[in-house]
Amino acid sequence: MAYYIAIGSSDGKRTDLKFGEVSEFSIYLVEGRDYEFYEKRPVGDVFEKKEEKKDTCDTKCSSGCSGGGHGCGGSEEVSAKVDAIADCRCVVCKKVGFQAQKQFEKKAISVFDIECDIDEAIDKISAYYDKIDNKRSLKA
Amino acid sequence: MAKLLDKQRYKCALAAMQTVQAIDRALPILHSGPGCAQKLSDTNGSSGYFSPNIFPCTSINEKDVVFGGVKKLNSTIENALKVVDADLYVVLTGCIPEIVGDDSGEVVSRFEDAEKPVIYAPTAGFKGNNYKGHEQVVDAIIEQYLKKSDKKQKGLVNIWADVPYQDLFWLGNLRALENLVSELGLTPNTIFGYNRGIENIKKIPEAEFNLLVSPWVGLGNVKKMERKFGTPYLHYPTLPVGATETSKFLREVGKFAGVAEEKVEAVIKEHEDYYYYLIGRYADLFLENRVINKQFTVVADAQYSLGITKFLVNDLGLIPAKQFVVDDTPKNYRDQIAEEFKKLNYGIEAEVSFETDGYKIHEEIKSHDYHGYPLVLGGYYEKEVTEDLKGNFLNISWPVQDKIVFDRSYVGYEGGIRLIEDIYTIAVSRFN
Amino acid sequence: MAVNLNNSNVATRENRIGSITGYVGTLKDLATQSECGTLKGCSRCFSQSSTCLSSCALGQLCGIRDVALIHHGPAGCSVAGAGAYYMAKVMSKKRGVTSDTIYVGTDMNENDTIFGSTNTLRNVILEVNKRYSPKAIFVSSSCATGIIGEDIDSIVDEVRDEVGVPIVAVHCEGFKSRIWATGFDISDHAVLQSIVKPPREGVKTNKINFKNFFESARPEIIEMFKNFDLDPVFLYCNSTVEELSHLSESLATTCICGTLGNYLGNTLEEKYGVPYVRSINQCGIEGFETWLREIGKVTGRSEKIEKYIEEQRAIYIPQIEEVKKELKGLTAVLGMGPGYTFEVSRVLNELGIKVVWALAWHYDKKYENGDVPPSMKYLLDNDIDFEASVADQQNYEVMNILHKYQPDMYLSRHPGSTVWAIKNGTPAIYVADEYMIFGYKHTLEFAKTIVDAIKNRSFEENLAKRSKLPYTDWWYKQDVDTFLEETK
Repeated sequence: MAYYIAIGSSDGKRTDLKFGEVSEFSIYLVEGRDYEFYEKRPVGDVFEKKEEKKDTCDTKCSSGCSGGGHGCGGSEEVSAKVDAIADCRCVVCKKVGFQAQKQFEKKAISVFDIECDIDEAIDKISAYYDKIDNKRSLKA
Repeated sequence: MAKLLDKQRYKCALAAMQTVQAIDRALPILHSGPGCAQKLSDTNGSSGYFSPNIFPCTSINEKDVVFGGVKKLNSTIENALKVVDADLYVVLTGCIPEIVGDDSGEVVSRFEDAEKPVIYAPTAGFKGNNYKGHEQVVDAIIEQYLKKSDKKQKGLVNIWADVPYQDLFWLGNLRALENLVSELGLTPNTIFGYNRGIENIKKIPEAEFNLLVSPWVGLGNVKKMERKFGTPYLHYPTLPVGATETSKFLREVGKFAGVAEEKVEAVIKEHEDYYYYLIGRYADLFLENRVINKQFTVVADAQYSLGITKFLVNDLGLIPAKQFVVDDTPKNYRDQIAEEFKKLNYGIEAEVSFETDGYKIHEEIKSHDYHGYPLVLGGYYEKEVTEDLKGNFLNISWPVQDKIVFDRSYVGYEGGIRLIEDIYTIAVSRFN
Repeated sequence: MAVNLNNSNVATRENRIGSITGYVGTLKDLATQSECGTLKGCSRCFSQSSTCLSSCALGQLCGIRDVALIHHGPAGCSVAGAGAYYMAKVMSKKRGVTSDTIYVGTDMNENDTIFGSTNTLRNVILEVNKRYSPKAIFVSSSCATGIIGEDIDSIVDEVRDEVGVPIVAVHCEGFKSRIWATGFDISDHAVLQSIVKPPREGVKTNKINFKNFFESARPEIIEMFKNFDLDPVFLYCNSTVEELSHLSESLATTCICGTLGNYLGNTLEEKYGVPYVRSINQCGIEGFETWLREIGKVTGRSEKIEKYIEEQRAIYIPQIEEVKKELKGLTAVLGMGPGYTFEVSRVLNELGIKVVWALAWHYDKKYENGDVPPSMKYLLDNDIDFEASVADQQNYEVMNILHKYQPDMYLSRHPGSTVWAIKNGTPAIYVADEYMIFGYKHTLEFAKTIVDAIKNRSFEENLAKRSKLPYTDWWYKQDVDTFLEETK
C-alpha cells in the first residue's frame, strides 16, 4: 500500500525546519521500501497568519531547553496546516509542537520530530512501516 | 523459548536495577520504557537514598524506536550526572534498545572521563531473568570499573551471595556472612547495603579470595574475577542455615583461608553451645505439638530451596517431600545442584524439581502424601494451596506479601533460630 | 469522538484527547489555554521513570473475577501477575466472594525475538483455558512483542471458537504513550469490545455503573443509594463477566475519577445511550453535592437527592466548619493524577488551605466529549488560581518545588512519592484510597487527618534530620522547568 510522507525542509536535503517554519511541505510517495519525490505543497496562507500572531507569544517560547512552557500560537493555523497534509501517513520536521502533534495523532498521522537527511528519514520510516505492516520484527 | 509462566517467581534482567539500588549511592539509569522501573520494584525497603522514581529513564517512545534512542540516552546520562548526587551511575538497557539496535555501550563510553564513573550493563528483559541480570551488573563493575591490583590485602575476602531484593533477607544474610567470616579472623568485603558502596567496590581486586555462597548465582562473576584479577574463589553452594551447615561452612572457609583449626573449632563450639541451649529449651515444643509433621516442601530459588532443605533435615530431623527450585536455573548447573540435595544425613536424598510452572507445583503438592499437615515454605502463591490442605505455610521466597523484613536473616546459627521461630510461631497460632 | 470497537488498538490518550505531560505555569494559564485549545506540552531532555500503561490497563482487568490475563512478553512485563494474585485473593475475601483470576506471562526470551513465538502463545492460551476455565481471556502485548511484530490479534481470532469464552487482544506497548492513564482506556476498550452486550429487550433496572478502583466505600454507597432507589454496580474490582455484559442496561454511569472512567462512560453513552454523569467528582462538599444533583438530574431522582443533601448537611457541615478553624492559613503542595489534583485542590480551598503548587501527572485538555475537565472549570469559575505544573511523576521537579516552597503539607496519591516529601521535612498525606475525601463524612475525616498529620511532625523531623536528599545542590538552585524543552 502506497502512502505519502510530508517533510519540512528548506533545501530538499535535510529535515531542518520546525513545523511552525514550514511554508511548503515536500511530499514523498512511498511504496514498500521504494520512494520518490511527489510534489511541493505550499501552506503559504497559514504561514502569514503565524507571523502576525508571533507578538503575542511568550518570549520564552523558543528558548529551547529552558523554555517557560507557556503555550503560544493559535490552534487555527495549526489545524489548517495539519489539514493541508491530512492525506499523509506521517510528518517529519525538526521540531513539532505539542498541539500540532496531537492534531496529527488524532488523524492517525505519526509525527517524527528529528533533524537528519531526508533520505535517511524516509529510509528508516519506510523500513519501520514495512515491517510493522507485514508483522515483521524490527530487530536490528 | 517462550513458555507458560504461571505464578511467576522472578522478574526480567532489567530488575538488576535492584542490584544497583542495593549498592549505597549507586544509581541505575534506565534506557527503557517509562514504566519498567516501577513495575520491577517492590515496596520492601526500596525508599532509601534512591528509590525507583528517582531513577533517570529515557522513557522510550515511538520516535526512538524508529530513529534510535542514543541521543536521548546521551542527554539523560549527561543530566543525571548534573542532577542526581551518586557515586556510581549504571546504565541498564531494556528490551527496545536492544531489539532495534541502539549502541548504548558506545554512548556510555563517551562518559569515560566524567567526574563520576558511568558503566553499562545490557539487561534486556528477554536476555534472562533478574538472577542473570544481577550477574550482568556485577560483571559490568568488574569489566568496566575495576582494574587488576598488585596490592593484595592480607585476609581480605570478598563475599558474594544471592540477589538483593529478590531475596527478602539479602541485607541480613550478607551481614551474617560477614560476621561469620570476621570471627575466623578474616576481613569481609561486601558491596551491598549500608556503608559499603564504592569504597568497598574499589577493594575487590585486593582480596585474597572470593567467597561465593550460592548454588549458582555469581559463579560466572567469581570466575571472571579469577581471570581478570587472579583472585581464587571458594564456591560454597549451600546457604548456611542453622548449626550443622554453618559449622561445616566455617570449617571449609577456615581451611581454604588457612585459618588454624583450633581457632575455627573454638568459634564453632561457642556458637553451637548457645544454639543448642536455645534449641533444648524449646525441644518440647518441637516434639509435642499437633501440627508440624515430618514432611515438608520448599518452593524457592536454588539458594533457599537447598539451604532450608539441608537445615530442616540435618538440624530438625524432618523428611523432605519433593523440593522445587523455581529460579529457572540454567541447565548446566542443575545436575550439580540436584547432587547437593542428595547430601543429607542418614543417606536421605531429596528429590528436586526445577520447575517454573506454579500450576504443576501446586498439583504435586496437592497429590503428595505428607502423612499429616504439610509444611510448605514458599512464595505467597503457596499460601492458599497450603491452607486448603490445612497445612502450615511460611512465606520465605518471592513474591512476598504477608511480611516485611528489615535486616533479619536466616543465615548462620542465629539465622537458624530465626527460621525455627517463624515456623513455630505459625504452629502455635493454631491448636490442631 | 467516535469509538471504534471493532479494532483492538485504542488510540493513545495523547492522540485522542490531547493530554500533556510537560507544563509549568499557573492554573489559569493551563485552563484558559485548554479552553481555546492552544495549550502545548513540552518534552523533557531529562526524565525519571514513571509508569507503564500496561500497569493501568491490566491492573484494571485483573480486578475482574475469574478471568485470565495472558501477558505476552519477557518476565518483567508480567511481573504484575504476583500482585494480581494477591489482590484477587484479598479483595475477593474482603467482599466475601472468591476469585480465581489468573495473570500469567510467557517468559519471552532472546530466541523468541528472532524466531517469534506466536505458536507458543497459542498453546499458552489454550492451556490456561484448560487449567482455569476462565470466564473471559485477555491477551496482552508488550513493548518487545510489539516491536518484533507478533500478531496477537490473529492468534486471538484463531483460538476464539476453541476457547468458547470472550477473548480479546489488549494492546499494551508501553512505548506508544507516556501517559499511563491511557491504560485505563485500553482496559475499558477491551471490556467494551469483548464483554459488554447490547441491552436485552424489555429489561428494566435501577442499576447505576460506578467505576472505581478498590471499592472500599462500597457498603456505605449501597446504603446511600438505597435512599434514591439506585443499585450501584462497582467496576472492575470484583466485577463478574456476567455483570459487565449488562453494563449497557444501566440507568447511568458515574465514576470516582474522571481519568479512570471517562472512556467507559462516554462509550456507553455514545453507543447505548447510557447517560454519563459528568461533574466535578465526589471529593469535598461542593463536589459531593454537585455530583449527587447531577445523578438526580440524569436518573430523575432530584427530589430524593435534595432531601438527602439537606439531612446530611445538618449533620456534617457544623463539624466540618469546626475543624476548618484549625486548618486556616496552612499551605499545601499536591501531586496526583489529573483526575484528582484539581479535585483535591478544590477541597483544600473549601477547607481554607492554600494550595501553593499543584502538580498533575498528566493533564487531559479535553475529555472524550470535547469539554474542558469539570474540575478545572470549577476552579476557573470560582477564581481560584495557583502555580501548576504537569510533570508525569518527575520526582526531581517535586523536590525542587517542595524545597522552594516548604509547604505545611504535601498530598500525593501515588506509591513512592510521599517519602520524598517527608525526607524534605514536609508532612505528607497519602490520599491513596479513592474514597478518602468522599462525601461529607470522609471530607470531615480527611480534614481531621490533616490536623493530625500537621500536629505531630516527629517522624518527618527525625527522618529529615538524618536524610541526605538525592539531588545535587546545583539542581535545587535551578528553575523547576529547566529541563522542559519547548517543542513548538
